[in-house]
Amino acid sequence: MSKITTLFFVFICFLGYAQEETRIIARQGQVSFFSYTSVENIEATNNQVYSVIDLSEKEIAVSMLMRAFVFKKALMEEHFNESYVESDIYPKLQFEGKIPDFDTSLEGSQTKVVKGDMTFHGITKDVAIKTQIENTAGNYVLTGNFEVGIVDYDIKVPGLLAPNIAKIIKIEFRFEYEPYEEK
Amino acid sequence: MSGKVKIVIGLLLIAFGVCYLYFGVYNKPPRDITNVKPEVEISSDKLLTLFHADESLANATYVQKTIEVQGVVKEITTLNNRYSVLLQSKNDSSHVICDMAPSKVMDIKKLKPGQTVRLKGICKGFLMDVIMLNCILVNDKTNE
Repeated sequence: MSKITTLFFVFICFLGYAQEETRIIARQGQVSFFSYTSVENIEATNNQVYSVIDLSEKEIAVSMLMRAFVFKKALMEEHFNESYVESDIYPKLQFEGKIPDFDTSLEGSQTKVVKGDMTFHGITKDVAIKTQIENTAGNYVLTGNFEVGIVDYDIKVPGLLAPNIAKIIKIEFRFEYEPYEEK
Repeated sequence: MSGKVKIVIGLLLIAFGVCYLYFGVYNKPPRDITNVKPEVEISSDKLLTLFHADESLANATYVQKTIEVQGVVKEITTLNNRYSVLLQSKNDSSHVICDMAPSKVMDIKKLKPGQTVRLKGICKGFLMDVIMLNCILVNDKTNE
């Protein structure tokens, strides 16, 4: 009887332990965007994108600061923050979603669709993003790319500059996760 | 004769103007803050406490400002081919992430976790951590 009780407690402890370890975090995820037109190519990268995945719930959250995008030219960064995404009013882009058929026990690579709400520039939209998930001994890396229409998020481009900014912006992302630590 | 000279001078001025706009404004590289005096000097703990307490107030006070942060190195990461120094805080899971200016990484390679450092950079805001870009090492206070 006592053996069973001990086993039971061990099992409970294991469950508790397993539950603590189900969250993984990326503090320095990378998101880049590209605007290609015949007039000029604009690209920028954010290397401090924050993301958390709850493996047991198959939930994912992403958050980034618009001001942390780095451009090659200072003027592009200024226009981006002041005229287009209005970083003072909308400093962050946030995404919350689920990876419904994510197989967390699978090692190696799997391609899944991440579905959720993306809030950016004061507008929330349903999005579905095809994502490559790489699992090497519990170290997860998520990568992928998708496109966003600037009209969808109410980004206004003055007529004079319209030829310089693409209507469709390409976005690439890469998140390397590590276990969530509460030390 | 003098009319021609005037036209030539005029054209030269326009050419200089275009060059200035092209190289000085349009192609101006991102900011180098080596010689910029920090507007605020603060410890990483204090900075994180302020952002935790009232994010919008802290945003208004620090975002886009050149600030100097003192703190203890928790970790140095080289993700995405960039050097970042993470400063630890009393509040365990929050840090100050300092993305180092690529021209200054030689200084960073010598740093070790546990060391107290002063870093100057441009504050960009707060997610889980306070994020600072274009950072440079100001002064190493370890041996004092």
